[in-house]
Amino acid sequence: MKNLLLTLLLLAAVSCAENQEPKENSVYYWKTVYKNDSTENDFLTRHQIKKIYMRYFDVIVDKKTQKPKPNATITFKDHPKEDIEIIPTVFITENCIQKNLDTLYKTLADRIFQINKTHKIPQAKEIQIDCDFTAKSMKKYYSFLSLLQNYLKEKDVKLSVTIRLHQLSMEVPPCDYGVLMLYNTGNYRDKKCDNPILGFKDVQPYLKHLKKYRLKMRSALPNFKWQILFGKNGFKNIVYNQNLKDSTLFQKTGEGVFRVVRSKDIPVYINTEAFNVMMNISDTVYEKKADFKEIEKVMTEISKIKKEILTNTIIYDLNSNNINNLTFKEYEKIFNFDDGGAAF
Amino acid sequence: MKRFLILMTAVLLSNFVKADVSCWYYPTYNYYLFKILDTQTEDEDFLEYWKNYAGGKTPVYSYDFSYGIDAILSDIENGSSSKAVIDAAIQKKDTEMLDYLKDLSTYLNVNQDFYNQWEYPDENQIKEYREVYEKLLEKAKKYSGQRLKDRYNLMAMRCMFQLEKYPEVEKFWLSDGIKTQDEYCKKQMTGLFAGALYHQKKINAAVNIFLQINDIQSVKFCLDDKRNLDGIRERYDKDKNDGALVFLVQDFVNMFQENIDSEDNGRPFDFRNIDYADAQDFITFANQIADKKASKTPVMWKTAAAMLSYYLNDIANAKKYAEQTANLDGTQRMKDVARVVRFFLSTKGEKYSSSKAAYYLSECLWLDKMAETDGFFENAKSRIVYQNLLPQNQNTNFYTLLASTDYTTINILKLNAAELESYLNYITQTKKLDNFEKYLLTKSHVKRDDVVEKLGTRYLGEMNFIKAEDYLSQVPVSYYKESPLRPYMVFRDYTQQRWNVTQDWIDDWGYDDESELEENQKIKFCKEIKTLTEVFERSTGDKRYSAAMKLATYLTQASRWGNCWYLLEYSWGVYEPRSKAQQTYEEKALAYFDEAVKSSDDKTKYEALYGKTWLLWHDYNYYYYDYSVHRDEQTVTPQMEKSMSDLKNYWDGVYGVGGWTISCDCVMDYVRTH
Repeated sequence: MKNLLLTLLLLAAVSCAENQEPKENSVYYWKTVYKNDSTENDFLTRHQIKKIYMRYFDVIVDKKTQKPKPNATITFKDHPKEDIEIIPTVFITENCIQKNLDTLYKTLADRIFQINKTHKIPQAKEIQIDCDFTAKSMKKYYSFLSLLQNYLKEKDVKLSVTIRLHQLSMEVPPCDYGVLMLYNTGNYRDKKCDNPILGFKDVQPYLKHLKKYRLKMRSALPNFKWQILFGKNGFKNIVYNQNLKDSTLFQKTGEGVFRVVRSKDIPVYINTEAFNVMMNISDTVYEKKADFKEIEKVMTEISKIKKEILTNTIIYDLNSNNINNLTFKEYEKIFNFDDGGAAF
Repeated sequence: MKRFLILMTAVLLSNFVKADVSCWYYPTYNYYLFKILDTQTEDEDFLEYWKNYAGGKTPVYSYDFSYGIDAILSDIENGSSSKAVIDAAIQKKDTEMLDYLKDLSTYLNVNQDFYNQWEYPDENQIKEYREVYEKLLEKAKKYSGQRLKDRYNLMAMRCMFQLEKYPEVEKFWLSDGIKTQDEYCKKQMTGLFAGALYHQKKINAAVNIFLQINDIQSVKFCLDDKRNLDGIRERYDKDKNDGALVFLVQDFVNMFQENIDSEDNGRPFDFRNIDYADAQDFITFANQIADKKASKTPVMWKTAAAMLSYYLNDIANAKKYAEQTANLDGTQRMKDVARVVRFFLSTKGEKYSSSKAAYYLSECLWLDKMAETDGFFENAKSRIVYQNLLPQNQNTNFYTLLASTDYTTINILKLNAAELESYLNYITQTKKLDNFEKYLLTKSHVKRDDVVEKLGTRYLGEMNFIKAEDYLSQVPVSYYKESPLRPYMVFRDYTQQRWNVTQDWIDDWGYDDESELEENQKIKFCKEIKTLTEVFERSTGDKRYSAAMKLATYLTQASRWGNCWYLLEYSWGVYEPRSKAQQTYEEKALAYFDEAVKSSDDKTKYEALYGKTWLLWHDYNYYYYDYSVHRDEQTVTPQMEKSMSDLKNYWDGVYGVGGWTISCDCVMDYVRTH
């Protein structure tokens, strides 16, 4: 009898454990070239990251044909480390959703499979789709996702999708799980916005929808920074990698605030379009970084509502330029915020 | 009005245009001093060959070839090509060249955007592309002519590289490539050769070649995992004189400088963090090598130890190690860098005295000579001057003299009259100057006339009109000929009422009017103010008030908000604070307005009330444009309140309540609503 009880208990424990996915630390890789980088590899090792959500390509509308087409496909300069699972991720612009998507699910999935095949990357166990859809495009997008999910199921491949905070008030998408994007939450066009990357006060209004949102989820948290250029008439653009310590160009006027003291024409990239923007004398560049205090606050509040979505958190993004924006301990706190829970 | 003021921000005037620009920004001057790799390169102009071929008529742009074979073929077929090279080849009926251009186009076309089609290439397609490379390679190798030999050889090596035939690249280089005459082709081929070595894991050989062709990015790539103390130790243990150590040691020192300098901002994209403990360990390691003379380049190790000690703020040891570099062996470049570092560290924390003149002079002359062919030495000199000599000698005439040798830091505009007078004495009593000071004087961009003119202007600002006139009279009118002040002096009139008359905008950067300046307006201004002041002081009644009105008008014009602000200052911008002289003039103008208001003449009274309000309004409104102080936080002073109330009452009396209008809608709006 005693042995039987023990056996039953053991079986119950095993069954429980089977329902829980193992804890996985993961990151997004959003660059257009995959190359082994010692800083990034070191980061992966130190934080025991075994999963990379890697942007494979974007889908945009071709100007000439007005049809969806792949763009900015990743180039593999190196072979990804073999002990790391790659989850191909595709960003689809919202205007693509307005086009005929009847066959897109297949061409898109097949393209991913072909990329993996060509580059001898183990076949994907999961694919992720990222799209900033709105109520207007939701129906058509979900129908695309549904077709894609069915197609992937045949091949035993999971489908995950990104969920932006404003999308929490909509129906849940057809997918295996969602990733709640906890970044780009504020209005970067508003210079008064303390932290457009992640601010609790920007997240809070959406949390009421979270409890009712019936979808398995993970969360994605930021480690990046932005340099935002404002002119006399307000927001001008996001600029990248400007050396704000260059006193021939900038004068620091406050914490994270730099006045432009010499005009400079700088290239700016918006989706596929590249154009130049002029930084004029007396314009201001605000540097906004992912702030761990805000991250912690957001995590704490979310944990009160749905702590399981913090079990397997994804850091956006793996980039040697951004890694040092948070400390080792801060990353560990993010990855191990909720040791007790399980996402699935 | 607001927009106008902001547009005015860039108005900068003086004989030292560059000097004034510097009030907007200051360079950091933190150039790398430890630059033992001479990376100066003269980039071969790869278009030169094509320009020559096309008869030099039309520049050829690189994208001519990036359109691919279709574009080039269609151009050839319809014969209406705008592309100079193809035109020239067709015209010359140069089939050999046309053939090569087609091949080149094919090569460039193969790798066009096929990775961004829905049909992602499979291995077979990639194989097809490889076949194209194979065919081109075969053709390139078979080329038997001489004229395009270098170009076909380059194509052959490129195709081999694309095909990842790295041993073949190496072999081809050694048999054929090495004989290449064309510099551009040779450099490209050398890079491919080094790349092929890298891919065959012959990292050391690859690094050495990349170093030879100054391809530091590739060196970094090859040594990516060695850019740290362990990497240096490892390389050193294998070979004490490994060529890669020159890069690794330089990189180690400079990355530590980046670590100290910029925290997390402004670092190079390939920044590598070197922490303090490693820097400290490196010093011990480097000193051991240098002291034992264990390598052929002890000077490199000792100089590195000196620089790192400096960054660790261990100045005494930094100086000691730098001194020890004097007789150590190394390449000439390393010895030159050591000499630079010795000079830099010897000036650290030292106030200038004539006992140092001989050493400073010899080192500066040497740096000047070296800088003629290598910008590193100019940068090094700047760092010595800006990080050590200037900050350590502030508020001295030596500082002013030293600063005057560089357009970007001329500071005589910041000096008051007493300081300028002292400086004038300093530079004119040349017998008292030591040799280094005399050397600096020859390099100075500030001449005696510049100092005298500024001195006169400063006295003008202090309302010491006698001394002002005395100094300004020593400067010939021709002095202003090349000055940006000239058009202002020609076209602006300080006798006009600022609040009633709009004077022309003068674009001092592009002004091309050549009108002669007949007299120095500053002197004229001095004289008229003196005369009017005498009238004002000696007269009574309306004559006194009339003089007061003129004085108020002139002083307002010379103040911060006047059209003739250039009488007292050399630049104008909304971000520039009001100078002491401008404040003095404003206060005095307000006092004269108060006198003029007493006039029994309605016109004078009206002008005085309006002028005063206008001046006060501008001063108040100025803060609105100073983004650090918001208008809402400004309090209307009792003086302004009274001025507005007086003006409003006066107008209401003349025109009836609210029935008046004035030329300045801003003031009108303000008076009506307050």
